[in-house]
Amino acid sequence: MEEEKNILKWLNGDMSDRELAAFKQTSAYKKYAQIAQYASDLKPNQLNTAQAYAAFKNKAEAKNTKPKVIKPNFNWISAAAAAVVAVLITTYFIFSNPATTTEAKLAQLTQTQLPDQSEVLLNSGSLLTYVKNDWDKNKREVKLKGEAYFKVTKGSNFIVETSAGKVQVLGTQFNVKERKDYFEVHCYEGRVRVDHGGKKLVLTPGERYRFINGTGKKMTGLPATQPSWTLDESSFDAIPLKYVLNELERKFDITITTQSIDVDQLFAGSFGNKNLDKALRAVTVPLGIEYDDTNPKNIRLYANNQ
Amino acid sequence: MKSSDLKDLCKEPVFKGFYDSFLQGAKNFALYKCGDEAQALDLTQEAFIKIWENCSCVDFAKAKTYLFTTINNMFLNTVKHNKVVLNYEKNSNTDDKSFQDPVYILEEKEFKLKLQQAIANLNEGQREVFLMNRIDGKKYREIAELLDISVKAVEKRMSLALKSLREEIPNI
Repeated sequence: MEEEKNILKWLNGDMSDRELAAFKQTSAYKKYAQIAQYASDLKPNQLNTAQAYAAFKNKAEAKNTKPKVIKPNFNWISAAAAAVVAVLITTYFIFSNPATTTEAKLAQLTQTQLPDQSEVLLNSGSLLTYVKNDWDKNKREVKLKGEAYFKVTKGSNFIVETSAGKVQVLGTQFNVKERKDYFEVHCYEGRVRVDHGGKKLVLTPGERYRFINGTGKKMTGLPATQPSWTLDESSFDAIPLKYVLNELERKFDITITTQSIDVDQLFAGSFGNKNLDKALRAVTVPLGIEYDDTNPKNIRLYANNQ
Repeated sequence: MKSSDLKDLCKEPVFKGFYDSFLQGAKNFALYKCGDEAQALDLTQEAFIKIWENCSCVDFAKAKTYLFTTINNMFLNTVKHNKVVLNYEKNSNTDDKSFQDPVYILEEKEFKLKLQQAIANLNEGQREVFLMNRIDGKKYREIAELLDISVKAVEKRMSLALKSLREEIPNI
């Protein structure tokens, strides 16, 4: 018993020097000393506190479940108010047609299905709105801001409205691209009718309509069987550089500033949507432009004077 | 900051201070239970998140006890009970072979292996107390406070641990 007490005392570092000296003489000491010493030498990983804390913050924020304590305080006034609000909300839903909105944020693609099973793939920085209750056998209508690729199931008139113009189809695959002062429609399948600036024309597969610099024209020949951006690549043929830079900004969620560069010069080529560095080179090298990406969120383009 | 704020875990600097001082100890504690570094760190982070989420209900003085209790509970709930074998560092100071004869080196190696085995065979309560004392250099009083048990209970676990280690390990 005495021995056990001593051992415990010793392991806890509570022994006086004299007690320790005496304890070291005992027969049990050597063995316990070995066990104690070698056990102390086991080495768990030493953590990097700063790193661990950063990981902790990430995890905690991802959960973001910091609960708010809500103390219910019902009295008859709030109960009455709640009843009124409930009635109003019900009325709103009965008499109004809430619009359904789908958004593709910058640097993202979003796929969505319409009530008639038609599929829409939204390109980065685009917004699609439709009012479900207005849809019926005779009319299918969506509003588009940005660019989208449609695969429309057969049926009644399918109308895509943009601020630039209207596109109308029956059942087909087509791509609509609406930008500031730039509007382009590609027809991949079926027939597409385009209403734009008082102009009405019909596109058949392989045809496209492009409006740029104030003039619109119908062209033949599509570069691929589906829009390149659906395959993570943005292609351009003879498009002013400013639209290309614009697309870079959307695709990578960055801003681009230019310095003594002619943004109206035409660009033909493509860039992949995965790697910003490669994309920048794909655009700048052919045009002999230099870029500075010290700030990866704000790229500066400047002329190469050498 | 007001003086009362210094003990308010909802204030991030206070919480970070708490985190920094207990992270390593808590992770080691979890390791003595589950025997896996990655899992131990996960458990510890989860426990800290719990405290952060409930910061307003956790008394600062009790927070460390709460931390260890939470780890213990989560361990019981989620982790499969594995054999806990802790390892030696590759070049620990006991490995200084420069002027040791080969017989001793072999014996030492065998001793270490036996000790690892014996520690793995301890029951959980004994193992965590023994290792918190040996590896983390904690006093019985601190261990008792963290595990919310009495100092007597800590001492009891210590002596039981020593007893079974002594029986399993041969003399060098």
